[in-house]
Amino acid sequence: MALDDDYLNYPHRSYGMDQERYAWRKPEARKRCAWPGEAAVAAMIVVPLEFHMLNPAGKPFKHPGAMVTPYPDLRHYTTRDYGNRVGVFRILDALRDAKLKAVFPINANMLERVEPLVDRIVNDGHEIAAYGLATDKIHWGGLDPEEEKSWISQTRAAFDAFGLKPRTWMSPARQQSFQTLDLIAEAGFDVCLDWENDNVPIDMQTKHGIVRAVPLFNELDDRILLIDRRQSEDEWAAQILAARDLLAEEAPALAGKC
Amino acid sequence: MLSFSLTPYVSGQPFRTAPMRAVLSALGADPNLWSAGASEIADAAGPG
Repeated sequence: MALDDDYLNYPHRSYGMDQERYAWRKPEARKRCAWPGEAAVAAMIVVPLEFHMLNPAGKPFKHPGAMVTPYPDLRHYTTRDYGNRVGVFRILDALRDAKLKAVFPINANMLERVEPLVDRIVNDGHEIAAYGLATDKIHWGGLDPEEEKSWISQTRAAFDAFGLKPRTWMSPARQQSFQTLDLIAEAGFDVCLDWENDNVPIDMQTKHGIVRAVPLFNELDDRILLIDRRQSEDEWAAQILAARDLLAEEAPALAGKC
Repeated sequence: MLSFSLTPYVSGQPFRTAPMRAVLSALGADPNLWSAGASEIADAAGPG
């Protein structure tokens, strides 16, 4: 079957990507990243703090981790609650013992619910990031632009009320509209965790300056590997360390560009 | 750079504590690895 003539008139059919946020490049063309201490690999551990309500709107889709069974899905609701009242402290203790730093994206509507947890995260020296307004406030292409702008403003205001000034943004479900980057830049966020298109941070062009995308890899996400793909804990652990080993191995060949 | 998530209701389960601690201990003991938050990594990377 022949291609329709319109196929050849695609407006972005040229060198580079089909958008103007960032350019395509091969690994050798990266600039040199000199991590502190001449480390071969920089590691970013992300601990997402999500409030999953019993009655999520589910528009345009349910957030990963949202309720599953008919209302009220108390089994999944309480599992999520267990994570935020018990499990997260095991992670904090393990991070402390291993002397590792992490970034904790938090839904804005969750701040009041877990204030002592926020204090512990800050006191342990970790970074707080804004994780949007709520798990059922998902940014997407069909969202009214003014409504999206309002959600981001409300998110910033909620963190302001707690004396927190996060620079880093992660969208609920890591889902964006075509204007999310412009709006978060306007609201003062200059780092974003929604993209994962390289092994180094990438500058994204917005109407309000640069937002630096620090890649966070779904392919190593514990929920996806352990729950969705039903891998074993040993497999998950081996995959993280294998990624670490390969990235360290590649570092000299790329002259520190990793 | 290496990046991954630890979801509290997943990795915070008691039966996953040992493997989670093993991973973090290995990373923390690695002299070739720099652990940092997102904004620190963004600043260290610089424009690009």
